[in-house]
Amino acid sequence: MGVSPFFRTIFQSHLFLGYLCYIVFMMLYCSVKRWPKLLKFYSYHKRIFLPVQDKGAQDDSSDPLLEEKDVFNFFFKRENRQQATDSVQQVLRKRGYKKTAYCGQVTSEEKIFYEKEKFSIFGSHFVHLAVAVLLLAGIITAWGGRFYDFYILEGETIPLKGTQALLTLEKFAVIPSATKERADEYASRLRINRPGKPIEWQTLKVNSPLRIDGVRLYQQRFNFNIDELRIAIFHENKDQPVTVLTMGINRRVVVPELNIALEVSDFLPDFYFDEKGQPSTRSHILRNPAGHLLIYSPANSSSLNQEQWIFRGGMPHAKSKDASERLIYKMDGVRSRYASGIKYARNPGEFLTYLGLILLVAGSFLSSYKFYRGLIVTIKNDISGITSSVSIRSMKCKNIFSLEKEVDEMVGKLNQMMEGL
Amino acid sequence: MMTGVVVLYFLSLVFFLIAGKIRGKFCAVIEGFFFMTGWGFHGYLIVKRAIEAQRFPLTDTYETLIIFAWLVVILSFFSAVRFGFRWIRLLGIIVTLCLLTFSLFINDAVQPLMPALRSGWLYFHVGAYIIAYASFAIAFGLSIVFISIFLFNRGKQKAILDSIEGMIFRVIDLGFPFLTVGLACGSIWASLSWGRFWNWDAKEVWALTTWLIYAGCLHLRHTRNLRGVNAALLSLIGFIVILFTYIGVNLFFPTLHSYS
Repeated sequence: MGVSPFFRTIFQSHLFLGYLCYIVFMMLYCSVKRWPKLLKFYSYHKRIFLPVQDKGAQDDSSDPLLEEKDVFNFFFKRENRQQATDSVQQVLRKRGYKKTAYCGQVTSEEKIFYEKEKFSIFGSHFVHLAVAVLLLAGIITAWGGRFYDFYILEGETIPLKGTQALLTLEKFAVIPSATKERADEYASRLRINRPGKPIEWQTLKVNSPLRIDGVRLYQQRFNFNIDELRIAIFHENKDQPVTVLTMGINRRVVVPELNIALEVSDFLPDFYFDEKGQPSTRSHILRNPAGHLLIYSPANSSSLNQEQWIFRGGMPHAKSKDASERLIYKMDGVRSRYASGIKYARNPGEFLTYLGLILLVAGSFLSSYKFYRGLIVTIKNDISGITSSVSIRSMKCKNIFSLEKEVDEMVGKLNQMMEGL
Repeated sequence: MMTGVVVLYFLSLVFFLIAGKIRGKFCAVIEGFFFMTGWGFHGYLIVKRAIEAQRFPLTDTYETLIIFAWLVVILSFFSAVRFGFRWIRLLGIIVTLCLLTFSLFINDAVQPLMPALRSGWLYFHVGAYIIAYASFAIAFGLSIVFISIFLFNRGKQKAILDSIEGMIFRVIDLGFPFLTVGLACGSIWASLSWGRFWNWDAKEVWALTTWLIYAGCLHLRHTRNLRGVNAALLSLIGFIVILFTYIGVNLFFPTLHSYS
């Protein structure tokens, strides 16, 4: 399921984005439509004990959470009514239930409504809303965002697109790791010049982007740019070079005194032989620079006479086939500049993305760790007037397993406390 | 050293089974001893690794694997206590043994951290994922038990099946928010490091698939009353996708997460 470039373009096509817009619209519509019902349920405790005709909420009966189930029934002597009520209250409060509604002694019957973790009813709707917000952020980013990578050389100045700022890379620094195979850290020292504002200097590092006039810059990678290579040519067993050439990569240079032409076709900053025995670079740090030298003899020849890797300070690995022309080539110097690889990002959907992610996390915690529980406690005297009874009815809970466990524990505790009443 | 830990967990597994069969208290004590010693040494190896690497060990497959296994042990222990179902511990040990045995075959050398990984988000992102994965590993074990009981004692053990089903969803409930935190932190970190919240990277796509499966599982549970063997199967599929996201993606696809 890796995404090929072909699919990347699909994700940014108008057709796909239009389809995404439709989904977002429908999700937002469903979400908005659902919220009044939720808010109504949130204030259900205000209506629970009202007579049916006053509730003004025929919709309530359709909410699955409002289904009730008997979980506890206990008879006790009428004179112990207060004690029984206190016991129930004590057990429920200890479990975190809050009394949210009360219906006074009508025909010697008391009804109390206890609730717990009520805010959790919004959890799944937060997740729903979050998904819609994230998709919306994605659409805004795809339509209005701009992302591209660029390289800037040390000392180079470029205008930053979409702003009036001029960006200069003053210095690029690499800190190699202890094993020196990788860079531990690398950073660009940037000078930002905006008209009418004082010049600013900022350091751009990996994982700490810079914000300039609504554009974010990210340190991504770096590379070498070889400005100049100096190659010294020696006769074998001679200390003084015959000549020292200054050349660039892939540029053929003629040496008239020796009637040869030289060209450096490849440059490796940290030369080593890889597992397959092929010349490669271990890192992008200029530690063991090597150039792949092509030698044409005579100078105007189009066919290659000799090729070899040349190093700084070391001896060449190969010698000329012709003993009379025993020349030794050495890398005398490298003038290089780092090129800092930076990502340019203008993302108008950034704020919405953060909002969506916050809603997503909050919603998933609420919907997974908190479960709304409602209990209706009814205490009434029986007709004979000798005994009273307390009954507890629980409202439906999403987490049946935990509710049953909690109810079992509460019932056990209540039976223990109310024994002998 | 890790081999020693595997041996200790294995002995714990053997004595757990013997204790379950003969109901001997002595065997249970021996099992407890091997279990705690194995877990202690396991923890010691993690601390040793952290000292050696001079960072919290959550940066490559080997490190995440040993912490994943360690968390499975803890979670299975607490779940067994919370649900009063001791066999969860057995499932935990089996999953841990599989993970640790696999860890024996992968490169365990401490690697220097690349600059992109030098971020505090790493610990939130990977840490949250590992907690979620550990929870789902236990849900996976419970799902296998559920399906086995369902197949071999068809309709006869409804109470036990209901109970296991409840446990599966509780454990998924425990892990799902962490899966979401892992996804969200990864997205924020990607935006800070790579300049985009979402890069359509293979690992990201599979992580989203995992999230959608578990979100779908919970959604169906609450809205369509997903129950029974279907619920267990979905949990099973979810964990298989997790394993693929965790290990398979790196083997089969080029990914920006190649270091993990």
